[in-house]
Amino acid sequence: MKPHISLRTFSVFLALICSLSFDRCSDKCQVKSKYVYYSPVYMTTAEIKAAVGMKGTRDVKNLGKIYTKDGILFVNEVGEGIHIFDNHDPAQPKSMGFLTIPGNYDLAIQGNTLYADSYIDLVVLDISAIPTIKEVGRVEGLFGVYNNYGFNVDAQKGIVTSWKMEDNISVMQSDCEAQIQSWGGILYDKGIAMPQMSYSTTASTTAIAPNNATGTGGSMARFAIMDHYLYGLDGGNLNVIDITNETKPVAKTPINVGWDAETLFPHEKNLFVGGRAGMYIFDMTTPEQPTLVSQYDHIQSCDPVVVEGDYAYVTLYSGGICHVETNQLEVINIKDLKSPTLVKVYPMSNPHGLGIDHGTLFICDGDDGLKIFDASDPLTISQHSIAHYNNINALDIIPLDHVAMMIGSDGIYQYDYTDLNKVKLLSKIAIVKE
Amino acid sequence: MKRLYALLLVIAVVQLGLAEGGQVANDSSVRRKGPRYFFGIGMGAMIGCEQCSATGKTASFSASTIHGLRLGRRLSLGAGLGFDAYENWKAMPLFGSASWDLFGNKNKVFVQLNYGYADAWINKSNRGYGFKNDRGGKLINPSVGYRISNGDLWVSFSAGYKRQQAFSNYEYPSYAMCPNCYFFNSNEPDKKEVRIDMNRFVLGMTIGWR
Repeated sequence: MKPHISLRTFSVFLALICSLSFDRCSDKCQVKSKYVYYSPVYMTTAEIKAAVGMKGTRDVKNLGKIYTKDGILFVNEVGEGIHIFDNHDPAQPKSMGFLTIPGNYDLAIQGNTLYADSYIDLVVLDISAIPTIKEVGRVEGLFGVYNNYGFNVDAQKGIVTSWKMEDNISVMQSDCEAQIQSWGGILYDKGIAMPQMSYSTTASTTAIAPNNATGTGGSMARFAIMDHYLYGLDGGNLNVIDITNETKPVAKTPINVGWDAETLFPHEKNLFVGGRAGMYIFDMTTPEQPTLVSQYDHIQSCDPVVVEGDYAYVTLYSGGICHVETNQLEVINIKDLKSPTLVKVYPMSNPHGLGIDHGTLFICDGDDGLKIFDASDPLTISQHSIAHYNNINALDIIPLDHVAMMIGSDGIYQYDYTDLNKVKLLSKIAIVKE
Repeated sequence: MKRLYALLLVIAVVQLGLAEGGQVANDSSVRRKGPRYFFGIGMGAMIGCEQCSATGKTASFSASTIHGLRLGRRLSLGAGLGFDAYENWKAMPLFGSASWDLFGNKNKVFVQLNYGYADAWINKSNRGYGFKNDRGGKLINPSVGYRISNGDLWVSFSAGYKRQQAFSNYEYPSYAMCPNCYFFNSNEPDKKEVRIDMNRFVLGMTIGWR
């Protein structure tokens, strides 16, 4: 039998298949993404304001910055408020209560007025009677950079106060031309906010009180008080607040001091701004218009700075947001403020906070503990070690009036260094691990 | 939708076959008793595209071998192993095959369905950032063909459609969007699974025995 009929039929089938399938012969893709994102948790401004006030004592769990004034020790519980201790006897600090301030990471005190951040607001509190501390003023929306991406303040929902981790699985179809990239982290369309920096967890302090009316801030503090002006870092901006009337602060025009600004350290008529890329020196003769005098650049690193006499001491450390492997102490001659020059570099393990008191230099060297040096000769600091406590993870210290208040990862230590040959531990307030 | 097309195709084939029923009824091919072993080795071209706008439709290589039994005058069942080279993927399918001779005498028109699983791997150069692993998936390959016999040897020409699934998995570090948001990171990486359905028009030629 001739096959011509079959061939004809086959041609029909072939044409049918071709028409059905040929134009559909492109690939299809399905992308299933699984990722973790953080959805914001809101508090209304009314709720935040209502929460401010003294509560009973509570355990220290997440140490932030420390601040001291007139024998009272203030210890920030990161993002939650301030522990207050009667520290007139450093050997036996006594808890006086916990001051709840939602969204608090930094503080400064002038007279009987405590200034603290509360998310985007500056809260003013009367601490003349500590058991009954009360809010007496508030500058709303001062810390605009907290509202960094414009998402974290919602007219109805309030302010982003925390983040809740959630899993998400999405399934998307595509034509394989461009596969859909899944990125985790923060879900953009639900907003983002930055708390007032995690620096607070590694805050360091030092012991230079600009005047008797203020307390003692720190080398990584974002707040500093000079001549009745409160300065507060808000990202790269320096907020200037006139506190001539302590309970009625007046915000002035903020000054841009540098994208990398992290810390403030007041010294005489100058404000030293620690930045990740360097140290900036501002002339504060005109309090409302700080003027940049000079800039000292170093490699990008976390760098608390303290100043005494003609020298600035800067520690550069790796880890966290710093992402560099440099750990050292730099001594910078600032006699000529317009031309700061590096004098000496000392290798360290992982130096965080530091403080200096009349030539005695205290360095919190991370896991390598607390190191105390005689810094009378800036060129031979490493040769003049006074003491080394290497069984502590040391982060931050205030040496003041022969008592060094140090933050370690497991608590607050206080040392008596009246006799530098016999530095002794006075007390420890232990952190309660959850 | 493709299932509907396949069903329409089968109906069309059956109707056309019935229309030429006399040919089938009068088939004078020798009726043989019992199942008979057969095998075939074939190769062909798969026409289609993944990045269509960039490359347009392209042709790629396909090869397979099928071994099986002819059961009666029309039905053949077998199993096959193949190798398919797609643009960005390679696949090695293992499949079952059923063939039905529609009509014809010595030379026959047939429909065939291959169905199975293919191990698949993506080309190294196409893995991309975050690639973790890959795997194959289901294969379905209906076709229609014309088989010309000469003694125990035969050669067939076929046209059909092939759909091959493949999967590639990716993991990415959980990025945060601002330098100081690192504390938002979790230890759990972002995961992505891409399933690709490769659709191809297939033209092939097979040489076989029995």
